[in-house]
Amino acid sequence: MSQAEVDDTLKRIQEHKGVQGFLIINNDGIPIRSSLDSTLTQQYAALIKSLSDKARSAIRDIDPTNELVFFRMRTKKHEILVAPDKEYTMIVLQATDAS
Amino acid sequence: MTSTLRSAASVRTGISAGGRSGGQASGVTRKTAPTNRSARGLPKLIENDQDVTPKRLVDPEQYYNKVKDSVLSNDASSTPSETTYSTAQPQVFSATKSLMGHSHGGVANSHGTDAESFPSDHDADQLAQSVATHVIEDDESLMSMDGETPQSLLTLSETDTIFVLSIDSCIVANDATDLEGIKKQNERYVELCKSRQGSDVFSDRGMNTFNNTVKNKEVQCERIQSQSREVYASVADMYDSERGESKIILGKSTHDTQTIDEPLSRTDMTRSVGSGVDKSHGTRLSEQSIDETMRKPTIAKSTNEQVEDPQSFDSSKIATSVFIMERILNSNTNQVKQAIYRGLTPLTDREEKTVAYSGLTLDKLFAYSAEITNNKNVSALSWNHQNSDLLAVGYGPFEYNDQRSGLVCCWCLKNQDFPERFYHTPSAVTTVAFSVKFPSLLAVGLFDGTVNVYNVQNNIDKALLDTEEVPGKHTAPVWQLYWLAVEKSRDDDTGEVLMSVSTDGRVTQWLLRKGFESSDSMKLKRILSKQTIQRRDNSKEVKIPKSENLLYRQSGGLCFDVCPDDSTIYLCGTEEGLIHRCSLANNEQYLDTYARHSGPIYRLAWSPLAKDVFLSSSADWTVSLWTTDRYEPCITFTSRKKPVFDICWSPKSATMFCCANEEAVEVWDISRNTLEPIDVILTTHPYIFTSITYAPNSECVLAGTNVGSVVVYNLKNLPAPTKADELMEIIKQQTHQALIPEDPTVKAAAAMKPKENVPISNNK
Repeated sequence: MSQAEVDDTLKRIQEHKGVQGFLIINNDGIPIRSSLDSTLTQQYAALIKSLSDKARSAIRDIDPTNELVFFRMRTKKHEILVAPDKEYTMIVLQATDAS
Repeated sequence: MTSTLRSAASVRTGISAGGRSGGQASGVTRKTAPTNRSARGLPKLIENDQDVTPKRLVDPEQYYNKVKDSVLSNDASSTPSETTYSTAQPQVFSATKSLMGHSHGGVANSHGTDAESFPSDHDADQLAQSVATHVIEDDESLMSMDGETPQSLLTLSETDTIFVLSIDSCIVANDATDLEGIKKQNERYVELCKSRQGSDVFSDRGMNTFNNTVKNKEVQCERIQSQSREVYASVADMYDSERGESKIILGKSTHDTQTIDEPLSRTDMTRSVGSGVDKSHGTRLSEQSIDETMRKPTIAKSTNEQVEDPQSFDSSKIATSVFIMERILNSNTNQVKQAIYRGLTPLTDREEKTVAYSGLTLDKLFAYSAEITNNKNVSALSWNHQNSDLLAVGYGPFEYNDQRSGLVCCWCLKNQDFPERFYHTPSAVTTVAFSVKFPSLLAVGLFDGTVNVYNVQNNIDKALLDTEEVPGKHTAPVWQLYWLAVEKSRDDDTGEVLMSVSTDGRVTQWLLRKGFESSDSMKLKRILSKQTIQRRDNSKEVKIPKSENLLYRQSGGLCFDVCPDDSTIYLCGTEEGLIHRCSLANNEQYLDTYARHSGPIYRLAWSPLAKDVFLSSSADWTVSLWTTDRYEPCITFTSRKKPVFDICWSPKSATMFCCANEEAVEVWDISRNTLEPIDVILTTHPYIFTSITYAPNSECVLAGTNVGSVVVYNLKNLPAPTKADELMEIIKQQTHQALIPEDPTVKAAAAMKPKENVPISNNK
């Protein structure tokens, strides 16, 4: 996908039903882009990143040929969707009473 | 310096190095030993003129290599070869009656009086020399450290072992020739030792080494910094490093502290949370620190590390994650609908009040529509043969005027808000078709007569192939495309041809070799319908009029369908309402013509389950069911006063089909009711339905509208799928009923029979 298409998709994600916010962090845990406020961004970036690393290493320890593609955490208030990638990780928050 | 072996029996003083040590024989004995030894020969075993002396297990060379005694150096080579040795055994040989080492003892005994000190002195000198040299070396190095000269590399190592005296024991075999002599020598030696105590021949004397002055020197080097670091290599890390894929980078700490290495304590690692993670894919030596998890994240500290410049963030790197994320969001929101589409029981949070419908119902699920498809008329639908969730939709108005650019979109169930692919075309799209053999090829027919082929693996607007420049291209809108599997005529053929029909009156086959190559399958001639009807009715008597038209007009073809049973037979519908059955082998004559409709035929469809049955839909508000052997439709369906744009047989049930006329989607089941559709969805908004298709993997019907959305309806409460023979039954019934009024004799006969029966019963 070209950059423009990805930006379009990001926009669509942001406008999707129930989405409360999203952020993109790099491998160091530094947020690149975010639609949440600063403190929340920092918190999510740090905490989710370490959880994502842990999850990824757990999967790879079980089977080194496998790879973590996506995981979600459903909480009472919303659902946190995490898509780790080679260089960046994308996190989206969606409200659970959306559907 | 390790002490070597010596026979414990002989104790000789006089060696300066190391003082008195038990078991050291004098150099004298050594000196004389070789002569003695050379006198004796090693017993050799000769058998069959071959030397079969057993070789010794231990190489005595290595014992003598270290000897620095020049006296022995000449004889060193000779002695090992002549004697056998045992390893050092500080036994008291005199005590044992074994013959091991007796020669030594004997030797020492016999020449005990020849005590000479100079060999020992010689030894001592040598030793002193060697020690001195070492000392000198040390001095030099020390001096160099003291002075201003630059420090050289000093290597301290252990000196080699200096053997001052080494007398190995000697083993003599029992059958040695001089055995008696050796024994006597040994006994004499033992007696000498016993008599040594009080005898005047021997005197003890003590010796002492020099006590050299000692000098202390202190050195201090720079403080050695250490930092304790723990690393954990997980299975994944080992797997990766084995394959040499990734470079494992230990992250840098922001603060390195100078603490002494303590094995268990964690150094003050005030690094931020982000560091310590590698930058390569998948592998990191995971560093676990309690501090990390317990402490509040301090991202601020890491800002002075290399920070990703936000402007240079390239979105395309995150493309995969974004793509997956969008689909997941969609599935979150639409999980129920998607489950219904798939035929699964949906999870519902709350119990919906279920209104019990007894009959078949159509339930709107969702609609594929996006901003880019707004206000575009859906003109064609086609399913992918490999991925049955993928639907290609062509957008283009039906009207002849007002031509804008067209659009083709590929929609997937997983994302209903935006198409997976979209291609803009220069003119309106009239038809789309996915290839069977190469599922990623999509053929698109346009209003200006060109046929484009796209590769849906990428999203490039430019077509892979098109017929712009091809001489055989259509000059009028292409209304239908069909991929047909044929036998390969040449080796590099793909085994598939593309058939198209267009208003310019040609049904054309396109070969996709290096480009498009066309060959006409049929030129649709315009024939007068009366002529054909005449011919059929009077099939037995009529003489076919010889006045064949030499000039004929082409009639525009609007649709065609290839027979699923016999791929050389196909039907073609024209603008005048005629349906021609043609063969690929014959491109001049039609096989049959069916004339009934009074308006242009919009769609033809062979039944996928029943043989030789097809449906036709037309602008004259009717849908007709035909069999190939009858020139009248078996059943005609009318319900609304609107042209029927599209029909589609149900893939599972032989008697069901659905049709889209302007104002409604209708589902017909012939086995129930031939007069009325069993379910109807009316359009509520000011839009009309323009196309319809069944989903191949789901009980759903998809209908395209003229505002750009494709609405998905779920068929609920479907009756059991009917078989083909039921359809044939019904057709037979229908046709039979149609025949009866024409044949009065049959009717009379039928009426006769009951009358005959009556009198019989009356008689009773």
